Amino acid sequence: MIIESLIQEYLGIPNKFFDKSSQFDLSKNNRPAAEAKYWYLQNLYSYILDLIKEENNSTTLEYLIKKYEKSLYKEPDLIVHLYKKYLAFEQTNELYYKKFAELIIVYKGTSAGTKAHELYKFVQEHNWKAAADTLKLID
Amino acid sequence: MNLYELINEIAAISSNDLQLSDNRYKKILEYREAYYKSLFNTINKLIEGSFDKRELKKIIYLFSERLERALIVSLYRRYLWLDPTDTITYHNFIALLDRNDQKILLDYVNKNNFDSALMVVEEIFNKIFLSSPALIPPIKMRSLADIAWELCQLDMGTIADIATMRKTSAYNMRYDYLSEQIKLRIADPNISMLELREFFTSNTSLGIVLDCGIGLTIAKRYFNASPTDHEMYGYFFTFLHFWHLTEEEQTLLQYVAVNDFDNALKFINALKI
Repeated sequence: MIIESLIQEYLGIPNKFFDKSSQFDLSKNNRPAAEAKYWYLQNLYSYILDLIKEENNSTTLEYLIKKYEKSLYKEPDLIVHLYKKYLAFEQTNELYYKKFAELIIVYKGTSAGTKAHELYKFVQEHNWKAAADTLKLID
Repeated sequence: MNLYELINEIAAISSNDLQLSDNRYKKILEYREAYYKSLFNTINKLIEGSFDKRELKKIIYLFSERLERALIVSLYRRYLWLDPTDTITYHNFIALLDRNDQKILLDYVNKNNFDSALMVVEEIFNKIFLSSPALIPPIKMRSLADIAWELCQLDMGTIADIATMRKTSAYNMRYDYLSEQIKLRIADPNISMLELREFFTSNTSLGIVLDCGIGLTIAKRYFNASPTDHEMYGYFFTFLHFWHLTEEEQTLLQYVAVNDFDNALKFINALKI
């Protein structure tokens, strides 16, 4: 599976920084390597995000969430996209909704956290329409 | 980042190729390759400048399964220069080689002929690096400044290192070998003036002592090609000063100050050690 191979590749990269100037340690020894690493990371990351957006098989998405959930906690943006895409297909999956809301509350800022609390409430109430709408608002 | 951390970084770079025709994926592979090659060359340079044989041995032990062969050979080579009688490491290294190289090297090691063994290691290293032209080239293909850099590493090691190293034949052999390479390169009629300049200026600005004869030879060749290079004159004055050629320095300074480059050149050509 292409997306899985790319996620594995991404997870294997040590010392990931998305700010070019933050590749300090590598820059000290080798500026071209730090630059190339930065662009490699950026391109790989956005490629994975786009593949997630294009993925239309919820089984694949669920498999990726289950398999990489823990390792992807270090990369919350990727796991958030996986959940969002998966929940767009499985709009009444209470367990995944709740896991997603908890993830947002733990890793994201106050604004997203507040929405995640709302989402959690809607899911408790099985108000799937409101849950789906709130999900779209969480970035 | 130190050598160990950089090795750890390069060992983690994936070598997967999903064979996708997608241009975005191809771009990712290009960046990954640039990142890898650049890191590789830095690491190789650090290996060549390393005096820490314990660290080298540790890296060999921990990463030998995960690194490209060329880097492994480079690690062994440097280690063996630092500890040229370590037969156990020789045997580990020999196990990696093809049958022909194995036989030759084993023969020397078994006879405790470590000088010849080191030369075989050097040949193996050159062979591997010649077959990977994108990587940092072996010493004969390197710029003068790069060779001088390694020589400088030998000179600038800690006093304790040097005190120990000077006693080893490996140190002396390496030092002589590098000095010889520098002399040969300077004598090469095809060498570019840019390379000569880079060598002269980087050495002088680093405070490395150029052999007086070598320095004069370079200066004569360079100034005959570029007699109006003010910046290079600056470096040359530093050089003359270092060698206590203060009278010569003052005379030349007078010519250069008034842009009298004809006489400056005549004066330089007449300089003798």
